[in-house]
Amino acid sequence: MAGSEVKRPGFLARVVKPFIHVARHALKSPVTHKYPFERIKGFERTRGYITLNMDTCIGCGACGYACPDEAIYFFPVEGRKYTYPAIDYGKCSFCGLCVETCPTASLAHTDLVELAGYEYEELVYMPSELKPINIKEVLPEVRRFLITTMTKDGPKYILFKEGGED
Amino acid sequence: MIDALISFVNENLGVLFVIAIFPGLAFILGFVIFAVWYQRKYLARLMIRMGPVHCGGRMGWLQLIADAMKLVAKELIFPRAANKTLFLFASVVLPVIPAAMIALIPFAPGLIIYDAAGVSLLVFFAISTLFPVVSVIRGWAANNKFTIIGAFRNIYLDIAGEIPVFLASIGVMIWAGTYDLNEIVLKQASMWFIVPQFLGFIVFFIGFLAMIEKVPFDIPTAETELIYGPNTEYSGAMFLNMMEADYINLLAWTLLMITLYFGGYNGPPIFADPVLNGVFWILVKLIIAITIIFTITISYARLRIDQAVKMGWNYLLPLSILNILLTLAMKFYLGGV
Repeated sequence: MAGSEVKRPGFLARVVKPFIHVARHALKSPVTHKYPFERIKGFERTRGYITLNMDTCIGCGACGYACPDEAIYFFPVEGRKYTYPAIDYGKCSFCGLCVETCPTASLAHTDLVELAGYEYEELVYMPSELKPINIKEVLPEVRRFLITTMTKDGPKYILFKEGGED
Repeated sequence: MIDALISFVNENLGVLFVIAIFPGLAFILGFVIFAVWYQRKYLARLMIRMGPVHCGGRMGWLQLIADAMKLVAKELIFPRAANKTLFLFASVVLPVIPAAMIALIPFAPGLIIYDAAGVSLLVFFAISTLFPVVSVIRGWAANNKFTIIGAFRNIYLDIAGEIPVFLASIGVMIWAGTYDLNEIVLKQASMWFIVPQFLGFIVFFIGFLAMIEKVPFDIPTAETELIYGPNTEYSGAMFLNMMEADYINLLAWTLLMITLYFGGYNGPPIFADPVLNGVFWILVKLIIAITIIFTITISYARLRIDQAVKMGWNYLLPLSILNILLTLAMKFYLGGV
């Protein structure tokens, strides 16, 4: 058996080391945050809720062909001449292929991920609904935004303020 | 009637203050609330998370009061097959036992609830032996396999832990030449007894961890095996009493450890400032001690009951007897304190 060759750790490794390892954390700050009240500001390339700019969209359908989840349907919009993509977030896996494929860059990711609803129909966003959403509308409790940074002692949160970091 | 009551209160104001406020009932209940809150916040910190934050601002200080109110407002559920009288009796009596132990601890010169005429250390251990008795009553009365297994484990653990603890404190009794906790404290003014009684302290501390039933010795209430051990069937205010009993037990034994080995209410011998001697230092030592105990509770894994009992009888008991012999030799050659 390989187990018989394993040396049993000594007194220091069994008793003193765990205690010191744990006690060191008393001086470190937590890595969790109070989610509904504090929310992490998304990163630059976060793949979240997708917005559509109907003024530049040419209705080519490339996003629908690219979508691996078949989550994009096309609907005509009143007063406009093309058919435009509607996104079913119940199927969407946020892979971002539609945004990459779009020839006119009409589709864009935002950092919003709070899209849960009570009905399946609520997850289907028609072309006219794919507008930028302010986070305070879907998360009214939010008071502060945080950004994550990596320090020598592990991840840390810094308060985010518009126009600069705090 | 009322005049007699008022005059009685006026005459015994000092005694009533000591019993009701400090270091009596209010202090003990306040400590329970503080200790639970501190444990949750401090352990959360060690686990790099936040602990209670929503109730009472960022520090979550109202959380425990909210929990207590919730528990008091809940229905008292008695299992159908339980012995209801004993079931209720155990939940009422259990917190009283460690609280009675605290009555013997001196908090400052003259600030002691009950001065047991020179034998307070013996009385402390005499009262502490009631704890497993009531514990097995609660386990048996609930008529549940988890509670009875927990109660038996409690007895095994208490006997395996208490005898070494008692024998280790005999070393202190020999070194100080007295059974009286107040005099033991007075004799530590120049040197704490942890220095001459270091072996005894190690035995005492390991047995002490078994007595307070925290990890690595939370064998009676092992959550993953026994739900909540002897307390499994308790609900509402009775459950609150059980939780209080655990923390009052922690307080009583920690205070005994401080009194026997860390100079009680004396300040550190290097700056023995007479102004701060007394309550201040005992509270500081208490907070440091429970911080270390809580750190231990998440550093180690739980022992099995046979490992704990083997440790108590095979290692701690011979060491404590060796400590008594060493203390006798030191007392004989060095002359004691």
